[in-house]
Amino acid sequence: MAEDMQTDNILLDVKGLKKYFPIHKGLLRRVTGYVKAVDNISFFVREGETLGLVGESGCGKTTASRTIIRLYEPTAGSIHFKTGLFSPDGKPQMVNLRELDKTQMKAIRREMSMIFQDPVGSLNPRMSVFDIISEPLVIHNQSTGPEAEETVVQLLERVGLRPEHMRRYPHEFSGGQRQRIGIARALALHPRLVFCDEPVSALDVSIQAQTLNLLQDLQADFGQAYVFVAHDLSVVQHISDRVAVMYVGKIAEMAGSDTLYNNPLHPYTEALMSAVPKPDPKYESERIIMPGDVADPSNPPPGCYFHPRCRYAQEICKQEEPEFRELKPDHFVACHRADELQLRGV
Amino acid sequence: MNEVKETSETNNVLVEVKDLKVQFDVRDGIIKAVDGATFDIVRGRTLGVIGESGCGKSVTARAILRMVPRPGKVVGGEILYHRRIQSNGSEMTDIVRINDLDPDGTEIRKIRGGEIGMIFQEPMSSLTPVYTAGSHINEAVGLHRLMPIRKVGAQMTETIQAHRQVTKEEAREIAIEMLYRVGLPKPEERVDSYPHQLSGGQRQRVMIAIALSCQPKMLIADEPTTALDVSIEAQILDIMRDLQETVDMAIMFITHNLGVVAEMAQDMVVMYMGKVVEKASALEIFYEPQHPYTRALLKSIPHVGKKSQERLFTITGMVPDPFNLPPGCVFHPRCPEYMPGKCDRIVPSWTQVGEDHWTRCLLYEEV
Repeated sequence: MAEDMQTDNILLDVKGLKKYFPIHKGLLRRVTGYVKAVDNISFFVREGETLGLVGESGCGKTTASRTIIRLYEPTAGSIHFKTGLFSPDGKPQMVNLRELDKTQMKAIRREMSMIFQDPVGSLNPRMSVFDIISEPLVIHNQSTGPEAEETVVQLLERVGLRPEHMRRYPHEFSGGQRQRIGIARALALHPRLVFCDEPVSALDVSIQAQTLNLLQDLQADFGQAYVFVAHDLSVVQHISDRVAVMYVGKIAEMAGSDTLYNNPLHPYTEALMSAVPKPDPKYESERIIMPGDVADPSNPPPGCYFHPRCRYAQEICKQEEPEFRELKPDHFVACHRADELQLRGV
Repeated sequence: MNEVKETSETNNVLVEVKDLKVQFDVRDGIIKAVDGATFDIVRGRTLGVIGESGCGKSVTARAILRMVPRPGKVVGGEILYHRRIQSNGSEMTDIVRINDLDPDGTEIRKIRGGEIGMIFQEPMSSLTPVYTAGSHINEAVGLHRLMPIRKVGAQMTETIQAHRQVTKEEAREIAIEMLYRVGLPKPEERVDSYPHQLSGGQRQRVMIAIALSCQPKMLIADEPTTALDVSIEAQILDIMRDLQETVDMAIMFITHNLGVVAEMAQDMVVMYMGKVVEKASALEIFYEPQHPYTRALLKSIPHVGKKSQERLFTITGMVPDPFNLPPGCVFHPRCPEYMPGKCDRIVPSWTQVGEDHWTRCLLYEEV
């Protein structure tokens, strides 16, 4: 019974997801190898929660979210999403997104949307704010004309802009306001899952706080779940219920955000946490410097991908790839030595 | 023009910025990008400059290097560079008024990149893509080492080598040595690689190597780690601090990241809309901030490790339109301590509120 409750609660369940990009070389453009951008990741998102996805640039955070929404075609794995769109009685059930055809996928995009990092590049400069926000309504035949206008006014007010802003163009707004327009567009169809790809990293400190509060308020009002991709660890901790740490296309660790930050089980998480600059001049940092650079996803090292930079690495780490397992309740980790190591939190 | 006087033991100021004003005369009006900035950069110490985009922190840095982009102009105040020189066995200080120098003249070109190094935010655009990493460094070393202007530092040993010419081979060796010091893996190979072959973190390390290869007296770092990941950022901050200790270099560290500035800076300046609103030691800024803007800024960031269910504190409203600045104190429309009738009428003056702690706020003035 209890288990049923838990599965009922799951909105998105990703299992063994892979996305390999081929490398073409030579005159015949032969495939000479693959960039394993997302390499066998499994995670889930519960309804109405925020899952933070952190990791260094190039670790596959963005590719993972774009593959789930099928902007990229997955190489392998399953993506189950709970929706009532295709069941005759309208009762929500898990649907594998990989098995859907184009029309079904279009329908499902009503339930999933995306907020992008760059508030300048993600808004068409030739479209007015009204056109930008009402576009999803038109595409999904939700509303047109005065009805759409009313929805847009409501959305604008909800994200802290004024109705008269509707007739203006993106260049007339500041970065923070543009990001609000992007948020209004993403929420126009009341999606159940929103992928936020670095939504605040281009914003100033004071605007960042406003935007984070707005995202939280909107979640409280509409109950959508967020997958929050970011590299700023303090922002991710602030907004997330659970956090997944990625390293070279794989998830190294996933746990509740307090647990992950205070009692990490993966050496990579520990090193990452130690590197976060603390806004306190009296704080004596004891950074764990990871030697070398991030592994090349087209030619990763054998065994655990992190072993060349790991200060706890042993023989087994060089040979066998660690399994991603639930070591403690709701705390997943991919490390051979996770149960014996005593790691330091923030 | 230059004033030469004997170096006093107590005066460790390297660059003095006094009431600096920079304006941009554009079609829509005049933007006061920097409007009365006053601060000192002390030898061997790090000055952190924080503020949001458009507050004038980068323009201030560029004014020090006489590199304000057109149509910007320094319209007031002065920038004094205290250069230490050896003459007749005693150490003298030559005060150079940077704002009077010809921006293309030889004097400023000796200072720019030589005595004052610089690193900017985007590593890719500041490296020329057609040169290898090594030749970038060679160029900087060649340019500034061949000029007989160098090395009047605290260390006497360096003075001997200062006037020595460096050949191409020696410059290459210095390049490899610098790349090694900034922690670039396999520097002998990397010296011959092109910028696009390096990752963002590696490129930024090359930039630091270039800036430091001339052993500058001061380094201007404008958001040097903003585009980088935390792990690389941590490495670069460590490198900068290590090198600072070994060569006794001053750093002007411009950032909007309060965590980074807390780790790096001993002295701090907070800017808002072209004005320096507060100046104090880093400890006082973080523990006893006086200006409402500084306080609000510190409260609005999430603290890692301290998860709270509460919402973040926000500064209401937006940065004002630079063509249409509010009267009185520029911060008053967003200020939580706004005093009607005062703040919207009177421009606050630069007031001392503690030992070496200055602010620009009517809360601390008798009005």
